[in-house]
Amino acid sequence: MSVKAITRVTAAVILILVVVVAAGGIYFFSTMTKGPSTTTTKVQSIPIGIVEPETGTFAIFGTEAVAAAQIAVDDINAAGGIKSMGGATLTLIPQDSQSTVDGASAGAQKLVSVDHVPILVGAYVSRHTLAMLGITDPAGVIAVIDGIVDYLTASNFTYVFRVAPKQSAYALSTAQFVREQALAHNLMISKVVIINEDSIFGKMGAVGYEQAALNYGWQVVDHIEYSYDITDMTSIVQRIINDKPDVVLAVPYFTDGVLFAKTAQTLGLKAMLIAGAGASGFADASSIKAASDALQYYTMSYGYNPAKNTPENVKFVQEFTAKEGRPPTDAGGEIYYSMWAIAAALEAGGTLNPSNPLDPNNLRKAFLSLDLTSGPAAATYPTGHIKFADNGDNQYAGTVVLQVIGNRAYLVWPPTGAERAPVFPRPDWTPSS
Amino acid sequence: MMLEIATILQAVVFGLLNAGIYALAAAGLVLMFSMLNIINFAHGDFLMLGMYVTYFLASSLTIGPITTAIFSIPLFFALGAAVYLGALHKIVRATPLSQLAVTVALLVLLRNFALSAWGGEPKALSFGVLQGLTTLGPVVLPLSRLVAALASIGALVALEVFLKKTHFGISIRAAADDQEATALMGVNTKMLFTVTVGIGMALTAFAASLIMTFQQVNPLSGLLYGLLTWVLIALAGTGRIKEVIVAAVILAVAESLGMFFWDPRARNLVVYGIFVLVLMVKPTGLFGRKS
Repeated sequence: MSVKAITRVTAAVILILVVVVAAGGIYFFSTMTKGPSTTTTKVQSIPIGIVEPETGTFAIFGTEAVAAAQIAVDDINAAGGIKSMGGATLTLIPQDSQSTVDGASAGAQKLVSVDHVPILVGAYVSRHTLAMLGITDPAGVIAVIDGIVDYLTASNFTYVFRVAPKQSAYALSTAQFVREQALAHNLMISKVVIINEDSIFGKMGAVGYEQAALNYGWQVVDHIEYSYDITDMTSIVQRIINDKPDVVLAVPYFTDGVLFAKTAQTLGLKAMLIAGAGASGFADASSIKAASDALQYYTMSYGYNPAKNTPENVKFVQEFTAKEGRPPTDAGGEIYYSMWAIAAALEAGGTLNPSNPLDPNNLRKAFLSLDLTSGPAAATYPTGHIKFADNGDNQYAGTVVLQVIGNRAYLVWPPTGAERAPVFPRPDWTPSS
Repeated sequence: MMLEIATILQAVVFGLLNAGIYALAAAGLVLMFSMLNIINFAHGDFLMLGMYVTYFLASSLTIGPITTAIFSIPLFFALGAAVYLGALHKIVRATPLSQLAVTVALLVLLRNFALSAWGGEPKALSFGVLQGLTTLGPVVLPLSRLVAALASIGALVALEVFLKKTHFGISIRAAADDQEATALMGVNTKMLFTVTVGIGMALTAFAASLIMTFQQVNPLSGLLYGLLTWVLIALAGTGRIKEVIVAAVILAVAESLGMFFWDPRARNLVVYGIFVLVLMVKPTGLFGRKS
């Protein structure tokens, strides 16, 4: 059977169509991925993107973060918006990362390419944040991150800022707190066990602990890593019991933290203290509810102080509690002060570069120009001081330590501003435990 | 870390405590597979559903997870009967590919149902009726795990007695050997299969309630247990409960020793590594014979 060849006319038509479609596609996508309009005579509304895990394994953190971001946006707009830009209001555009790396990338891509956000916040889980930065940085979008792993600001990203402390600070402050308590009670810490979930979040926290152990002369008798979706911690806890450590230093997420506490209670793990670093898992209201009394006397370092007695922080806690039925944890607090830091940067940007305030490089300069010791951002920040270094980290980052006593967590460190003295050592510990 | 005898004993005991539950989780599949010859890939997700039902009942009624079995066992018996009559009945004599397609569709349905009903976040019971532990020499036995293990052994013994000593159980075994001959003997095989699948699902629900005494559930829990139950049957090489129990002991103890002395993340490597090694040496499984 012979195949009839197409005529020259038909071939020419097809060729022209292909060229037109290709050219049109190139034009369309090049304009779609063009960054947000940066030259404006009057900005009326500034879209702020937020990528958080609103569903999936980490939804408990992501939903809180988005809720806190919306409260912040409402407060900023109610206070007159960005005055240097004619009272421009902020509009929050959330994207659900679905607790996956791909979800975080897709969410960031949509915010950058379709919504043309000049600033984006996220993504709580450090490995998701890393994926997000791979989208935002090349596009020249400022990312204010709440992933706390150190190398997010040490990886040569240009447009990244982090108001919250980095992971090593959490671990170091937890270790400092433990050491101070031991000294205050004339107790000697010689053996510690480090246990962490094995993503970059847990590993970086463990690095901080190991550095602290080296500094303080503690022997790390065991270092246990586990997958964050572990379903049975019996063997891990029994191994720790066999190690007989003075202190257990942990870096959990939420569900593994709860599982660890319940298993430890069942098997009777006794130590001077079981301390967590990195904001999640031990001292949140949701954790305490899920673990019942298994989390008694556990401590957790936070990058946000829910007990800070400034009018701005009290207002935020009240607003959040009214909206969500529970007080904010680290996840919500970090986002709240980050959003106010963004508002401050936009104010500075509108003053420094009124003709082109949303240009990425001008925005970056605006962030770097900040030195906040007053205003809602500083007033809700643990140290009360926000000033960015060139790599995007806050030079005055600091953490606090909360301890679960009874049915809630109390601020116990630093001593200034503490709600109560910490319980140390744990009442169930004896020197022969 | 010093390999003390007490630590090794502890790891072995934890493995033995898990073995009973794993065997019970596989028992339902054994019944269905040996009698119907259906490759049910959704079995693990029915177990996952059972864990969620346990969580829901225990949280709503504030009762212990094992107590929820009073409600979940008859519920899952009815569910099993419905699944057989609605889906499995039609694929008993179908090609393996069709069986695979239908059971995988069930798997996806169950997984997404759990995701939409309960979300992606793992769920664990915030309380347990059985707290504390007991000791046997140098070995520690958490009460919740001990009771779960004893309950699963009791259920397996009861199942063996049922299959060997009761008229209905003998009918099930006869149908597993030869469906047509059993039908010719005047046994209503459709009713027999419906009840058997119901019993299999009820056992799965009981296993789920025991697992929830010490674990948490998420929509992907079915993957973990689904694979494990199939591995147990394949490792045993037969569809007999006693041999599946032996396979469960081997895998559970190896899993526990691996997590204790190597790495908590080595669980799957140890379990599936042993499985592959055994089948390389004896492809018919530990107790299987060449046909």
